[in-house]
Amino acid sequence: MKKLISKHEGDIGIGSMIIMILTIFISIILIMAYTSWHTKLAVKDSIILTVSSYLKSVETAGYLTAEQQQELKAELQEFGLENISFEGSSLVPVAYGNRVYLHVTGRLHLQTTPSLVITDQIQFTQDSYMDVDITRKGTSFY
Amino acid sequence: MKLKKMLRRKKEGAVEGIVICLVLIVCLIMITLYSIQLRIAQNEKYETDEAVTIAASSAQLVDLYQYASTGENVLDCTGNGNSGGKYSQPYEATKEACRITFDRFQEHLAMSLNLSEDLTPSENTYIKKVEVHEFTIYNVMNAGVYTCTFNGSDFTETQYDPDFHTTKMIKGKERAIIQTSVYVDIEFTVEIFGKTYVIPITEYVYLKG
Repeated sequence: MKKLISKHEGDIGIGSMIIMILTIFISIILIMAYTSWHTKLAVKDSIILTVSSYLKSVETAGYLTAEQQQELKAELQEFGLENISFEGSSLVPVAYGNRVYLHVTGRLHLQTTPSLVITDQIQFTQDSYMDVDITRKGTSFY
Repeated sequence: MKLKKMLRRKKEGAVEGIVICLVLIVCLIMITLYSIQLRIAQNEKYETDEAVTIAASSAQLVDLYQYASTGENVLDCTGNGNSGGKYSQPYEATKEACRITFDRFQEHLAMSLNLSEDLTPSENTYIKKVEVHEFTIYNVMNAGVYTCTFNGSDFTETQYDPDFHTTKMIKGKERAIIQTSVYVDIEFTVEIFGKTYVIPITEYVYLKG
């Protein structure tokens, strides 16, 4: 009788433990996934807003000047954007009324989200990358 | 007997525990998905709103000819900002300006939101439908206000108000039109993980002169 009881108790205990650990584990992964998503969207928002605000000055100048390129690059680098390229943008003055383009490509490096390291083999880091490709079209007011 | 009862109880408790854990996991997954869905919808709202404002603002080009000859800030009606005296017939010129400004607005908006030129959505965006309810331009000249509207299908005939009494309900408030400007009423339908959201946007943008 005693043996039976102890066996049963043990079984149930381990089962519950596993399920509980699993629940905690899944919860952590979900929370991390959510944080990661949230950060990605928030950073993307900021980048789009920054690029769009530069379109106004590009329209006024008639093209993307070298100073604007430097400023925009510095601002975007603060968000963690790498390999920034302005290829496809209007880089020479455009006549009044014609189209100006602002094309920004790069790779967003996200390091800000928390990471979970259990062992060297099992770890959940959020060192993720996201490609950014933004094109804006305006009218030259120069 | 007592022992057996105890055993049963414990078993039931364990099963309950498992069920609670599973319910918790399912709840967590649903909450996460729902939050992400809402966050994407919010993001889409920001993006479309910003794109509409920027497109409306950069679609408005001052007609240089009219500015140089009379000092009036009116919208371009030829596509290159040089009307060459077309504004001597303000009705036709305003209608033409409305068409050109709307074309430009559409073009800029399409580029910002990855849509095709006539605003039909492509497959890899959340946007499923774009409906332009109203696109109105106001040309404020020395002689009065000339108004032309694109109502989603046609351009209406130009209306003339010599007394500068034109008003417009903008975001629930009636405003007098005192400056050359554009009013846009547009609606986006976005689909995120199978759920549809409708984003109505109205913007009133002045000409930067």
